[in-house]
Amino acid sequence: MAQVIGIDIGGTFTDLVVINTETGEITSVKVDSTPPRFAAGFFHALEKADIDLKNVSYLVHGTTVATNAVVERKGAKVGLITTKGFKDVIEIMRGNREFHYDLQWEKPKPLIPRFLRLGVSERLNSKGEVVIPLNKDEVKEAVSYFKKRGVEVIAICTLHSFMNPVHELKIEEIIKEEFPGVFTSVSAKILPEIREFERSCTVAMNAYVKPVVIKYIDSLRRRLKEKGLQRDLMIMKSNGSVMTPKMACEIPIATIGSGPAGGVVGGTLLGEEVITCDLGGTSFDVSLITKRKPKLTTEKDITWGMPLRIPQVDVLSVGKGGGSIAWIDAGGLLRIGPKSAGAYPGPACYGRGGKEPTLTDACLVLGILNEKYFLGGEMPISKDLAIKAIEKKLSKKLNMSVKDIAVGIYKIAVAGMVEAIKLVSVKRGFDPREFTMVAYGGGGPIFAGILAKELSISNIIFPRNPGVFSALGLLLGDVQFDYTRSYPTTIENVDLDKLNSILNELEDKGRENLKEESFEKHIEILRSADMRYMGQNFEVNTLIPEGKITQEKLVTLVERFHQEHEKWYGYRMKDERVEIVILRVSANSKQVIKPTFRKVSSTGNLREALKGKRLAYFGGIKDFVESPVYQRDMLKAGHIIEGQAIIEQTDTTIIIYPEQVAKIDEVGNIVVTINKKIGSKI
Amino acid sequence: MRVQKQGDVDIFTLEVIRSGLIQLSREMGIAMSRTAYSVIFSEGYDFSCAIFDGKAEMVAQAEFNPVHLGAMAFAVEWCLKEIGIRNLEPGDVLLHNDPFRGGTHITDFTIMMPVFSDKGELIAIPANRGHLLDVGGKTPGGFAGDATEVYQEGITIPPVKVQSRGKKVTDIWKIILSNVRIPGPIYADFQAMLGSLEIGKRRIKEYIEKYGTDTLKFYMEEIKNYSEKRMRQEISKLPNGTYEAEDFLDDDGITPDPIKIKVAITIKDNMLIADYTGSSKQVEGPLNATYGVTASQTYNGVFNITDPLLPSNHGCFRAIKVIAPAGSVVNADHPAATFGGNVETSSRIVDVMMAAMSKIIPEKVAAGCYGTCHNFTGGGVDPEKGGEPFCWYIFREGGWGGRATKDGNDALMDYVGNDKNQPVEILENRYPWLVEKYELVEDSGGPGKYRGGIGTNYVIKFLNPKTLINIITDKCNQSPFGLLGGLPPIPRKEKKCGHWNDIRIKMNETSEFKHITELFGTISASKAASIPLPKGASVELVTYGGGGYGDPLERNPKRVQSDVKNGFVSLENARIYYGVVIDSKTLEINIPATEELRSQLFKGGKSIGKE
Repeated sequence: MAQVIGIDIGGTFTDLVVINTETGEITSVKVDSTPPRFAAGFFHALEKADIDLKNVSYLVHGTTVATNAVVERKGAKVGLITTKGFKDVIEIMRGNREFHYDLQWEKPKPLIPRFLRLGVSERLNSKGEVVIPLNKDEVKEAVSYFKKRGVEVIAICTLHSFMNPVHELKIEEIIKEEFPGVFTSVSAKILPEIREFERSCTVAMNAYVKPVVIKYIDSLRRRLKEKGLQRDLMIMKSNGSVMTPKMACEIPIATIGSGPAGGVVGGTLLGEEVITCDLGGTSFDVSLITKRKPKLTTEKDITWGMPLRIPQVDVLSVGKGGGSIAWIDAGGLLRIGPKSAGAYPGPACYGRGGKEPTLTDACLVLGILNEKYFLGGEMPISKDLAIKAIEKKLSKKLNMSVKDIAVGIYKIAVAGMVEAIKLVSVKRGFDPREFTMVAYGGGGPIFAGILAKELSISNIIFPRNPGVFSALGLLLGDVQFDYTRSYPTTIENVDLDKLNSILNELEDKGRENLKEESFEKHIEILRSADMRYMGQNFEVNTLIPEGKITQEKLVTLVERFHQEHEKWYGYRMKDERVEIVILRVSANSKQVIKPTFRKVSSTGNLREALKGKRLAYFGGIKDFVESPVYQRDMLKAGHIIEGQAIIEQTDTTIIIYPEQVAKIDEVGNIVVTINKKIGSKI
Repeated sequence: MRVQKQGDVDIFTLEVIRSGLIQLSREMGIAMSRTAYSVIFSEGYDFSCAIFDGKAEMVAQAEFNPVHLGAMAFAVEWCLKEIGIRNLEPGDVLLHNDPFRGGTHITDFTIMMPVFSDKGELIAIPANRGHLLDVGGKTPGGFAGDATEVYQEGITIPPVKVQSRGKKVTDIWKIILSNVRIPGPIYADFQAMLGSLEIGKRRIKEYIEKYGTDTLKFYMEEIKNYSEKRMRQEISKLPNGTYEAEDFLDDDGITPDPIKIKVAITIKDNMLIADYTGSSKQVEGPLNATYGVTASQTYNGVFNITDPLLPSNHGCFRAIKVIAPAGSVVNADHPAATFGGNVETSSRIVDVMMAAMSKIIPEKVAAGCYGTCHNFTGGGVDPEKGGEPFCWYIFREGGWGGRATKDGNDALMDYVGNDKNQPVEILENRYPWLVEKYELVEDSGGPGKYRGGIGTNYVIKFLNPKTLINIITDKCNQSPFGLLGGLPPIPRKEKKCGHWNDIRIKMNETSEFKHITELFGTISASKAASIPLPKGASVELVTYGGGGYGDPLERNPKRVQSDVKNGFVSLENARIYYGVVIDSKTLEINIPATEELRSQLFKGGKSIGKE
């Protein structure tokens, strides 16, 4: 028996998915995460799923270890070497505030304290030419200063190094000689891109999490090997590809956001053009897939003022999750989130001492959730407690019935989710109506139907295991290396030989690195350029045509840029000069281990899946309506269910809204189509 | 969605529209920053976006530039009054930059696009205000520190249509662009502003379609009512009475006299009245604030000491009354010069409000802020770029005042704005400069139980054959105030002037940094215009820290130790002002010596350090 396994560790839960590669059968378990010792949850999940690692041919892991170290400020002791006169760049930040009127706001402190930041004499100009040569003695002094103070990692980030890495590389060389064994984090290698604060911060963050991640991965590998795992585990990256442990240890920040990235990659299995919606305990996460590829971004912040500029799956996260607390502000308005009750104490209905009413409590009151079948009945929840919380905290103050308030909570939450979906679609030039919605996470399937209706989306897919979908998605990532090179030039001044030679060099490097890690098959090279109208300060990533770049292909590239700009910002400036700023190359090895899913049986009567009826709210003007309730495991391929209907399964509840029709496909996904002409236009 | 009748407020719909419109303002700003040309726009975020209703009242704003946000309200109202609602048509865009008609200073352009229902009713007006790098006038990049009339500061465009029924009014554009030094970039920035309005229009149309005009109008009104209610609640919590304070600006750039800003804040039940009577008469130099600026900064001050979650819009303004005598420095008459009114006088307005309110809500205010935007502009012609003209505007962040339970924040943009600094790597790409230093300044924070935030030191070397520079800064010769026993920042005694914020110039690589008073015999050390710099000259821009809060002798010695370790406080100042004795080698606290020194200093009164 051969198995492939995906393990996704989030802040609250650790999810494990096993696919039997012979039968295509999928099983999953969910256990509590165990921060900060995440490995305990990892092995607990393996135990609970009763896995014999000798049978496992492929194991991919998505981890929150790095994120956790940054957010909790539990990373390494890091020293920074930078250009003399600029050691405070990461503390000064960008000089702006998170809120424009909040006098009590506290500016975040940098990950490296001031006494561990040192400038050395050296300077490049904006063209990358040496203006002041590197003073090697000062570097040595700095290294010995750090050595004395027990620094574990040295970050290196000097001005304009993205144009010419010569000084940074020399500094690294000196460190290796003077302080063997200390880790380094070099900006020219991690993020050769303009803007000193953002680059320094990214490099500092990489340094900060390095020892934590290395220690964590080493211990996983050792224990996995002991338990008989033959092939080394793979780690999901923030850009949705997978990497070897060695790569993860070199650029550990690339593991940030790997869990959510897994879910999005999972979405690529279900359609070409997809909007993924993941509703968990604390947040609602949305992202876009076009042409079967997740949209990426390089502009996400871990927390406010803590930018991470490496390519990441563009997941927009808003604070409207199942545990988000409903509250009344000083002016008497009902607000939801961003505070969340989390998993502990959790929503009031969990009975773990939570007193605040949450979105989950509202859903329970509205008949959307089943008191007796939460997590398949494994976890008892109490409708009475939900009602009490709403009554006590909201009802009296608003002078409204519990039910009306629950409806209000539902509506405001839905509006927030609709806004989030618009942000990643309409506002970036994509029409959501052309997309299929894929809904997962514990709560995604509750709201997908109403969101689709609001946005005039006509297709929704509920995957087989929505609660552990991110863990499943981990198995679909390809192995990928990304490279960037600054090449600032106007299109008229492009030196084709130079352009081609940079692209070839990066491509060769990619192939070589893949080879080193023994991924030589199914290689795909993707090339793109960050471009802008001359003088703009932000770029639009544009795909470079394949093959050797000729004058003609350059024209194609410029036209593609105009198109992209128009898509994002609504206009093009055809007479303006266009410039290239950064070249990007990804070398990708398609993973051959793709899970094949077991087909579900197509024999059986729908009536057998019917487990009862209940009154529930379906988002309309009308009150509660009676709806049939089905058990998902009992549904067979080809079954058709017309809304309104409720489908329950252990890890989620699926709501089929009126005028929506659900059909079970051959591998057990529920595919919903919506009658046209319903819902408002975008 | 049902049409709402008067008085029938669905609080859920209210919340949905309210947060949606704020999000829209935010979105307009992001689009603008990403497509603009100037670094001050795209990196510096010197702009603001807001949504107004059909009555020209502000309904929503995003967290951009406070000084713009209040004044914009007047600008939109003025445009509508002057052009006439009846003369507006779909596809029109209005523009103006007159400081005396709700403007801020002359480089700030407000543009707006009325959005109509299908039946032709004016429903909403998305608007934005942005700082354009050059609007003509006597100096490149504006900010002539010696201007005495608005005419010298640049071209004034009264409320006009720059786009009519979707078509650009090319005559107006030609007039504007032929009066500025860098027409290409300026036009590109206007494009970005227009693009952002298009986004605003599109989304307002969606709201109209979804809710219908009546419902949307009803809720826009309710959003303002809601904020008014909240603001009045907040004000009601304050004790009735009148609370006064005053503070000064160094000078107006023309004469050496300090400029007084005086406020008397009266709390009368649920109403706040800020009366600036007693402030200096309007001045000759460019330090005059227009009424829009004074009102903006009053709102700014009030928002900062009430509830930051309170959605700021026109409703809040109803609970705040601003009295600023005509012809004074806080409400100057045309044609006064106003460049610095918007960035310096404005800063002092918030500070005096804090000082006045410290008497009743010490837990909510802060000690004095570093007190300037430290404006530094200029331009020239870059031979390396084929003789292309260039202009810049940079400002500098500094330390904020200490608070009741926290230190002041280090290196932040003044109250006036919420702009970002412009990355060195981007500036060096754009301008013939080499930035030589960008660091925090030791001992710049005022000592206190909660210390004032720290300022910055920024040095630029000029590589162009010739560059003209302009300076408007302040609080060089007067310190920010400390509160409740907290001290003002300790002055740097070795200087003739510029004890706190400072600007100095080194004319060539071998000479020393000197003040402009020494180099050019100017009256003011903090305001100047069109100073020519040769290749190789450097300018040092120092911002200082904020005032301290609470007696520094009560500061936790461990925090003093940490400040010393990190170079925020010197060993000497730790001893003199905090009474903490730290070993210079080990950086350990000498506990017995500290206890003894503190008790001695305590007996000697708390006024140590004030000399």
